Amino acid sequence: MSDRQRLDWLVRHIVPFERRARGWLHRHVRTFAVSDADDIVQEAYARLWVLDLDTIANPRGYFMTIIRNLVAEQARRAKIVPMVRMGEIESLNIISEEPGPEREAVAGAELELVRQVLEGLPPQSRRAFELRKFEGLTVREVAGRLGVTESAVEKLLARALARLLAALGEPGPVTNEEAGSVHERAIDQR
Amino acid sequence: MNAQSTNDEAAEWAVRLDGEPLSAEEQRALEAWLASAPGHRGALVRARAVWAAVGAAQPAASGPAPPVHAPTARGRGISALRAAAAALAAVAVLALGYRALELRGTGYETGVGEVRRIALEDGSAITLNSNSAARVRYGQDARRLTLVRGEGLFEVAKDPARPFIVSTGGVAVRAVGTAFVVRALTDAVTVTVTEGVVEVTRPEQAPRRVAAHQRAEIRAHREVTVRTEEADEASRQLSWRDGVLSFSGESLAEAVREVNRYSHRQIEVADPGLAARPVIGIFRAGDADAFAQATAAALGAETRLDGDVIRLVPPAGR
Repeated sequence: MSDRQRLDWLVRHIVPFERRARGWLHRHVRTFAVSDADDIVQEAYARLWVLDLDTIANPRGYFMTIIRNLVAEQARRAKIVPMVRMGEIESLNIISEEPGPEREAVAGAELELVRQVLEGLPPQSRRAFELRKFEGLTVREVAGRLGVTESAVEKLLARALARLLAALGEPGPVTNEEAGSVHERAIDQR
Repeated sequence: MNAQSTNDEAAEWAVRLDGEPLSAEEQRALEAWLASAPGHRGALVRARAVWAAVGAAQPAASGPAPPVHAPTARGRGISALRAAAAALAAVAVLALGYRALELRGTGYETGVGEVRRIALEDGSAITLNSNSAARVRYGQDARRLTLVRGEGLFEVAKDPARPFIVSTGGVAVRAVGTAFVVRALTDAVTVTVTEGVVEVTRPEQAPRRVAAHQRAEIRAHREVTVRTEEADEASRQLSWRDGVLSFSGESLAEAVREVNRYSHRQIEVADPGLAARPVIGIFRAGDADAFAQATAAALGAETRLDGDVIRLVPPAGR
């Protein structure tokens, strides 16, 4: 699997889901008194990156399993007795992998977030981002268009991306589905 | 770790990786950045994924494969065992399927799913894992223990005048330094040292020393092999003390074997492809149902309850 394919897989399955995963983490991290949700999410990405992603049947479930295990590892190291049974799949109250109204709603929320971040960018950073990502120009072409160096374009783009990363790092809202009694949920939802 | 600066730096690299191939100097700088904090690899993967996720345009031809390799989390963190060991030496011996014929001394045993800690007169302690038995004989010149079956963690109070010797399966493990772990499987005894030094002895062979973060494997009719272990590995292998089982990439078959030791309800995996899949996670010992359901969900498999057996099977219709 090439890096390109790995990134595509993450884009398709994980990026749109990250804020909801953080929402879960946000609530449970308080329970566990674990250090930092960012550390856990980043480590979960790192662990996915080295896996044979094609063989993962339920990407979101797998992502949540990794996250939950990382929380458990930290809890164990911190000698905190976990408040939940580790074998429970409460984290798997995950929207179906099938396209459906809920999934589209989530994707829509992420799009809205991206739009908001772009609107809040300094004009030159936003322009560079639009040329690079929406019009498909290379960094060199964007540099020519804006009359700045390529290095400067990369700085502008990086600033835009950093804002996106920060915005996506805020925990997502809790949906009705998640707020329901997860313990009574059937395990196999697929 | 400063999350914001990590994000900012990851963003710069993600943008850079989506352009012209890196120069040798840039490649070195990236390697150095990735190595400078454990969270950097994951931060870069995430930044690249988010970068790829926004915008409709296809990124330009990608450069050489970025050096995002294995995760590093297992190398981190303190070993709970080492923190707790202090002046004690800890010996865990696992002898699956092995039955020592040892009738002298005081006997202790545990049933399936039971974990029991027994304090000894000199300040040492035994923690017996599920379905295990040990006998203890303290003499003037030595403290002798036999693992009759199963697995035991032996925490050893220091007493230079009376060595602490655990025997099982023709192997004697003698406490020399401060802290170590011994583990034996069906046809092999493994000794994992977390702190200090131990001596592993077999009849008619010179004692073999095993030092901290090393693991020795002892099999019948073969040389003792010693290799270096990750620091976390030993404490992870001892997670049963806390009533949990911890897996970090063992095959499902191995994990199931371990889970089944603690449960009357047994899990079976007939499909070889499924059995070979890696398992990562922490599970409560004795809760085979939860393990089966969690791994089924994570691996995209299904569970079938068949009397007192839980079968893990590939999903139907494949």
